[in-house]
Amino acid sequence: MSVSIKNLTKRFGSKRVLNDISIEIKSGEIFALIGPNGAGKTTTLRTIFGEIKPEAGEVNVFGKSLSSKVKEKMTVMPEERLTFSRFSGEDYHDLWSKLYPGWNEKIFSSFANHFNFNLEDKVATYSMGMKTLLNLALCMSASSDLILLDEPTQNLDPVIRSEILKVIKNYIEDQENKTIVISSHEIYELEEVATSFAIIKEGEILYADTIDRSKEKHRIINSGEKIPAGEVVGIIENETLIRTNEDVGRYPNFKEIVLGYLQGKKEFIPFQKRII
Amino acid sequence: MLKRIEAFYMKEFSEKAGRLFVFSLFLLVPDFGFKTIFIFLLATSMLAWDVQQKRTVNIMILPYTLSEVFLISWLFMVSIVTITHFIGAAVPFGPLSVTYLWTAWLNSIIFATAYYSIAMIFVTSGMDNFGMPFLVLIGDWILSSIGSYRNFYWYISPVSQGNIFAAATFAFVLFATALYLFVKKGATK
Repeated sequence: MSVSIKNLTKRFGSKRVLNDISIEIKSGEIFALIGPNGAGKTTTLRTIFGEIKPEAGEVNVFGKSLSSKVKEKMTVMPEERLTFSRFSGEDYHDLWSKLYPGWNEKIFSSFANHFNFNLEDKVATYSMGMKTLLNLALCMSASSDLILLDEPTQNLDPVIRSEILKVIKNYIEDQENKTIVISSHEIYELEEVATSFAIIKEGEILYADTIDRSKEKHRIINSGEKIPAGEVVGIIENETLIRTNEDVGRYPNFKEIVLGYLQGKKEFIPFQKRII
Repeated sequence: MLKRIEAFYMKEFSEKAGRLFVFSLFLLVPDFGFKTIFIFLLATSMLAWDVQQKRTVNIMILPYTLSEVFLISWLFMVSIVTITHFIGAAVPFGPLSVTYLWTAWLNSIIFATAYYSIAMIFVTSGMDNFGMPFLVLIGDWILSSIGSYRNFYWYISPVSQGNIFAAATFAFVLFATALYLFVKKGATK
């Protein structure tokens, strides 16, 4: 097991941000933590790498509690990206290569050549896309067994998005025992790369599974069709997402599963057609 | 561990270069009374400033634990205070008596440790890194200047340090409290 989170609770002042959440992330997975803004995704990641201490619960990485030795095998791309204001790309390279024993210069050079990093320039002057790519290059060159990526494709143009998703997939497929955890609300992109996921809303895990298994366990039923035995999860337009073992309706896609859980049974149709 | 310390120093020298240069000029003066306020400014600009500015994520994503960040940041401050003290004593302000030199250094380290800890205690309790510690400093000055030998606080005060062992013990208690709070609450306000 790469990451094990048990009964994690965190408050900021009187606001409960994480409410007794538990997640298990296996080695070799690309795990997506999906939820709307303010759901608790970033807080969950920040507790995994130890910046935030929870009020209750336990986080284990590679079966151990967090230490600097454990952290040498994990790298992080935070939402803020690389923000040492006076650091150049070269400074970041020097810093990371000092701190990570598994540093692989060949991988970093191939990233730097392919994406034309201006390593002498201050990173603060880089575009968001270049900062993200440099951060990703640092994470992957550290040969880490666990990479945490917070909103990796946020504010990026489509070409860089597609490059990043390709690199993420390639990192897991071509190496053994590597794990990537992605926090995002970009459902379409996550379906492309993720192997398992958890849906988080208002600090609670609504559902967690592998993508394939989640599709097997759910069905989409049209309005008017007979609802089978099982749990009604949510309404998506004029269809209903059901968790059931019965072979009825049709299999949902990943987007429908996520939307079903996030929307729940509330429907909002402000501009309904009036029949005269 | 040495690599982690080296990397942390590299980050601090790069990120806080301007401030460190200005403070260091004043810290060259070996007299403890003169440089008290500059040590205070340095102590409140260390980790407490990073927490206040929500900049700890930059360092916490790297292979450091909370206690390492706390201790290495303190060590960095102690290095600045020590190096400037002895350079100042050797070059522009020397030669000084050995006893004076070492006592003034010890006074500086005790004071720096106490206010580094006070700033961290405030910032991890949700207050700011400068205003509240500054009020404590004023209170410290006032309280420690009343009655000397008959005033118990005069012995332990980081400003007056009436008894250097008592003051060092008090600074250590503050340091241990600040470390405990930081590790318990995490690197957030």
